[in-house]
This record gives sequence, C-alpha cells and structure tokens, in this order.
Amino acid sequence: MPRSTKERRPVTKTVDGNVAPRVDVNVTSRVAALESSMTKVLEGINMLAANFKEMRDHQNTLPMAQKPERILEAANLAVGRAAAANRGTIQTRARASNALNPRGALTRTFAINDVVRLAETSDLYARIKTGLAAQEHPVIIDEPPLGVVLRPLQITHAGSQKYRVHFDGIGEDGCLEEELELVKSAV
Amino acid sequence: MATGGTEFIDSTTADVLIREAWSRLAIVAREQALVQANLVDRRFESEIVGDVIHVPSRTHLSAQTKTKASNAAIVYETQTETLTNITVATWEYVAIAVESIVKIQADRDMLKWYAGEMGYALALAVDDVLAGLVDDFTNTVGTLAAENTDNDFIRARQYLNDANAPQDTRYISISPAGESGLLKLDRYVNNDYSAIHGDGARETALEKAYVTSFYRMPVYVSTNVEGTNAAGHDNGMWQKEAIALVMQEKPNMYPVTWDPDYLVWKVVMEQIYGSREMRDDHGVWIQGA
Repeated sequence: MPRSTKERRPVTKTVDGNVAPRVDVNVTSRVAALESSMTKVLEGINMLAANFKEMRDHQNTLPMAQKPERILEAANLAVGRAAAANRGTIQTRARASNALNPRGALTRTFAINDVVRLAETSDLYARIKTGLAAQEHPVIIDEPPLGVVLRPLQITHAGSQKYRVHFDGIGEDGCLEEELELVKSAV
Repeated sequence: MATGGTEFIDSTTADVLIREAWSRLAIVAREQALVQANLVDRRFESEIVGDVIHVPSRTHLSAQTKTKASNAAIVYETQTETLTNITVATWEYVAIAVESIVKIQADRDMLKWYAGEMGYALALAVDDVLAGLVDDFTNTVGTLAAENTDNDFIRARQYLNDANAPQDTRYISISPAGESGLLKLDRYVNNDYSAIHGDGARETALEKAYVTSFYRMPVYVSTNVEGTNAAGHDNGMWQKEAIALVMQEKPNMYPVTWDPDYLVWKVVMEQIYGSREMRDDHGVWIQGA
C-alpha cells in the first residue's frame, strides 16, 4: 500500500547519548488501522447486501394464508394425541389440553348419519354376501351395501374406531373404520 | 254438475262427506330388550368426579425363601402398578319441540306421546355401546353366522375358569338366532340335564329377556346383540367385572319449556356416561348365529 505524502519524517532520538534505532511505529500502526477499517467497511457492505438479498427473497416466498384453526391444529395435534392416549397420571394429575379438542378425543373418521359403504375387501362384506345367499330365500348382492352411521363405539384393542352402522334390509352391525368408505357426509 | 247414465253419487264425489277415524291405538315400533347395562360393573359410578376415573391395579406378591444356613439379609419386593382409565365423555341427548298449534289441535298429547320414545332412545344408545365391546374380548369361540355347539359354551366357560373369574355374576348374552341354536342342543332343553340348565321355560322370555340358565349362567336374549342374521352375531359370555359402565348423568328429562320465539314447547333429555373393558380375560366372544 503506498505511503501518504503527508507522512511526518521520523525524528532521530538518542538514548544515553547513542542514536536510537529508527522504527516507524506510527506509520505501521496507521496502515494497519486503515486496513482494518477498510476490511470492516467491506464486511458491512457485504452484510447489507446479504440483508437486502434476503429481504428481496423473503418477499418472493411469503407463506400462504392459513386459517387460524389449521395453525392451531398443527400446533396441537401432537399434544391432542398425547392427551387422548394418556389422560393424566395419578402421580402428576396433569393433563395436556388441546385448544381445539379440549377433551382430548380422537378425531373420528365418520360422523353420525354419514352414508357409508362397506369396503369390498372387508371380511364383513364377505360374510354378509355369503349369509344372504344362504338364506331360505336367497338374496344375491353384487356390490357392498350402503349403510348409515348410527353412533361411534369404542376404540378396539387394535386401535381402530368402531361404529354402529345400520344397513337397510340387513340390520345393524359394528364396523371398524377401515371397513367403511364414505359415500356422503352428513355434515 | 255432471249428468249422464253413469253419473252416480259415488265415494269420489261424496268424499268430503265420508267420515274418517283416527285410532287411539298406534303401531308403536317394537322395543328391543336392552339387557347389557344390568350385566356390567356399575360400582364405579359413585366415585366419578370430573371426566375420568383412574382404577389402579394390584398385582400379587411372591413368597421368598429364607435359607436357614445363611444369614443373608432378606429381599424386598415392589410392584409397578398400572392404571385402567374409564373416560366419561359420551354426552347424548334426545330433544323434541312441538309447535303450539299442533299441541292445541292434535287429538293427543304429542309430548306425552313421545316421552317413552325419548327414554328408549337413550337406553338403546348405552346398550349399543356395551354390546359393541363383546367382540373385542381376546378369547373367542365359535364361528360367525354358524350356530354354536355345546363345545363352544364349555370352552368359553373354561376361559373364565382359567382366569379365576368369580363364579357368580356370570352371564350369557345371545341373539335370537343364537337362541335358536341353543334350542337344538339336547343339554339345553332336555330336563335330564336340569343340573346344567336349571329349571324354567326355555322358550319364553321372562323379565328383561332372561330365558334360563345354562351351565349355571343366566342366558339373556336380545336383538340388540351386535351383528346381523346374515353376518352372524357377537354373542358373549362374561363375568360382570369384565366391563364397566359409569352413568354420570342418568337419563334426565328437564321440565317442558316454552319458547316464545318459535311458539314451540321443547323437551330435552340427556345422559352422560362412559364405558370400558376392565378385565379382558373375564369375557369370551362367542361368535355365532
């Protein structure tokens, strides 16, 4: 880096009558300080540029608007499931709560009065089909019967929600959620 | 006015003058025998506070052997007990509203007309839920949609014995189709086996659908046993403590209220309850007709 033309000439100093060695301390430190400050300025410029770029990109990737319920649901889903699985212990008497589902009930697949169809691969459909064909006055069905959900029952040991479903002309039976397909929602 | 050779005063032209009668009787939908609620454990009802009852388990301790020749210290035993929780969160209601014009002009009291139906609807809901628990018992006998054999009932009884289930308060709950199968069993109908089935008619339903006992267990017949004739029914044999029912709010009918906004009389009946399988090995799912 070139020296400044305004730089002072070094003064000859003596120590105990001897000429002291000439050391350009001031010049060296000023040059170093200058380098340091210029480096900091460059870093600042780079940082500003990065910030500007980030702000520009951020504007291009604004999140899609979501319903408050969705946001709450996402936040509380894990908590709600935990609350459903464990409604507190006798030691802590503490329970997790879910703002959307304060009782911690599992979200059910079907609602009362939903119109459903038995899954074609379900064991229940196979038994109904065989049973109707074996009656005194046989009834042959080619497709799974439609039914109406009467009420939710318990969650089985296997973790499936069970429903009481009325099948017109056949009767009422308990059906697991995986045995049913939604045809028309009551809601 | 019409004239002609066949223009008679017939039932069509005089229709407005012919009287009609409205019967005081009605074809009331037959009610199913709802038996389940009386066959399950209701002891927890007095304990319910809030919406869940924690029922702790108590497991057995083991006897240890102290060696006579050794002076070693004895060991102590601890058991980590678990909880079975009965969640009381089913809240159901039945409500009707009768417009005042109907209440005034109808030839019978509509509120009174449906009062019995409201209670039945709520009782049926509880019965449905309890009947639905039977097919979740791990131990099963028989085949769905096929009449049960004597061996099925003997094996089911053994399951309860193997689990040390108390001998009293054991029940059998079956569908009418299941009862038809029972009636074909010699041991069920032949009085030579009265030590097994006890005395009493085996074809006449008595109070609360109780028919008779079989292997010293009362047999209840109900069309509300889960299932259909086509696909088979979830008959069951269980000891009372297998299933718990907690009726926190028994069917409660509130006074009839007048709503001036709609000019209607409103009646609401509600109930709050919860149920839970408590002892899986105290019940057997009898798959049958």
